[in-house]
Amino acid sequence: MDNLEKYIEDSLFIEWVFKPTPETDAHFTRYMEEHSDEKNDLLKLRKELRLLSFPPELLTEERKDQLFRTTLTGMLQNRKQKPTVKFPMSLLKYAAVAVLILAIVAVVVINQPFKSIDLKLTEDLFLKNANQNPTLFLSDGSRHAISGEEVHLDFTDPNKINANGLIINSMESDNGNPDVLVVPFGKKAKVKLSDGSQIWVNSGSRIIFPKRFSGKKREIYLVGEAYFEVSHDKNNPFLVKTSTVTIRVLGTSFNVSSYPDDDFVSAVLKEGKIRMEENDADFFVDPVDLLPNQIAIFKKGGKGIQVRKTNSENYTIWTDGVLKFENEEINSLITKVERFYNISIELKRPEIGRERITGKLDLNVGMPEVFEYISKVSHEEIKKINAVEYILE
Amino acid sequence: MPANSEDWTVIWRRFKEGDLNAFQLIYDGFLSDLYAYGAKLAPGFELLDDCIQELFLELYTHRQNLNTPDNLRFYLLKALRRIVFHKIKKENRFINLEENLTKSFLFELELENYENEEINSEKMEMVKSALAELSTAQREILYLKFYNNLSYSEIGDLLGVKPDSAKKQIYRIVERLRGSLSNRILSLFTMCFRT
Repeated sequence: MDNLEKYIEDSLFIEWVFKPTPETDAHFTRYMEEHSDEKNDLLKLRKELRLLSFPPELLTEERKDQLFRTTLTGMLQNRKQKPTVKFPMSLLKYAAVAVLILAIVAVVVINQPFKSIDLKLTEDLFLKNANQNPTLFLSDGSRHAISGEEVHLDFTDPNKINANGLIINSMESDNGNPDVLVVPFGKKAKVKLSDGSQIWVNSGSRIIFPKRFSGKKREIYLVGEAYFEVSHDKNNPFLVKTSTVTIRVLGTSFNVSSYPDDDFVSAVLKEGKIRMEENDADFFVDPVDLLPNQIAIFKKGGKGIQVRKTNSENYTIWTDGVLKFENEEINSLITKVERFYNISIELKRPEIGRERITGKLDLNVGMPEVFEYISKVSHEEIKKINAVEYILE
Repeated sequence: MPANSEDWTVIWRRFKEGDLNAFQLIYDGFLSDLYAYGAKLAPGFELLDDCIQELFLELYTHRQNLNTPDNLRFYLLKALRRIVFHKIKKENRFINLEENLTKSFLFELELENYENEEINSEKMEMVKSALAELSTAQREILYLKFYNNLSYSEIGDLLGVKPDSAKKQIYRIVERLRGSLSNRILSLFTMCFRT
């Protein structure tokens, strides 16, 4: 048959063969009258293709209604928070039934490991934390502030936590609640988890993690920025959860930046492999897999995740106290300096912030030299207002 | 019920704005096909109803964040596929966690015995055996192409194969199908020549 491809690629023909309707029947009857030379071929092919029949699923009208009702039940529960939804009269008949069913139908809740922690609570903990030092909030309710220029925490020993040499005895009876490490602005910390994975936590960040990983997943929750070196464990994927996206890892080194006051979340892969997926709408949006030296950026409120090539070193070198930037906005540089020193720098002329620069800045050299560098690239002066406020003009 | 993509775009937009009538139109328009696809992906899966419910619930809950898809049918089928596999993974602890989401799970294909004067039971058996040799992926490709009219790139996206490969498979199967039917005539023909 010469025209085989022509027919198979015709979606109308396919519909006529497998799901005929009066409209498609009429269309092809007409066509065959106009092209009588093709008539035999068409009918023959249709007969042959129809052998490929998939038995249709029996979905009675009752079943359809029932499914819709239970879906509606779920939606009604959510509706409490959205009073602006228009509720058409035609569906009220379902609503009445749904309310009845509500009492009987058990709603399946997907078990989320962090449901038991009140994340709002940890938010408050952070704000109320007047302590200038990185603080460990343990699951047993105790809190430990750890002083030192660089804070190192080691959880590899099941019986104790080593915090910059200070030994904290961890309760053997782990109540299942995770621990929280809060690193305020101006400080940094490094944590070694029970599985040997290492996390460098940047200023103004916190991580929530279980003392020991149990079960089939290793999950930690991050607000802010951290650099990860995850120990390879094929059977237990490592997950970094932020408020908007989740990064899924096998064994690898990567950086994640998810600050509440940034309008984006980024992940940069140094080596290995990671996957980023949106927490909401994850069934409707493709997750993104990263290769080494790629960056994935999720814009909050935007559409999807963008990936591009980059030099991963620019995003991981902060662990040494160095900032590297390529064609980056001055705003971004200033934000990082603010976090590092726990100060705020106001820009008299905001348009300066949107200019882009390329370079390298070692924050270890001290504030005066850092400020000198900023002045140089922005052609402005940094003036001190008080201990924590500065202005660029 | 609108058949083509343009008409669904309008309904989809209204749905995103919170119009429950539009939501119901989408539900009514696609439920049967979604259910049929889900039942083939995972025959006998008792949580299929839950999957369908979850699909529509998620759709409604996150409507404001969703894109406007080019092909709504493809969009919904793909989401259902994800949800089904997600639920199956949760139920079955022995599935490798890194399992490629694009593997077809189970895909049953049955032959309808059409009352067809020209095709006798012997030929039907030949066709049946030819189709029995198909892999589950090949069956799914057939189903998606013929019963859901998806494009080759959409099929490729769902199954993790190259669109060209999907196309080749379709034609190979169709030729094979038509070949099995005309075999008898060919063998009769050659027999004539031998004598």
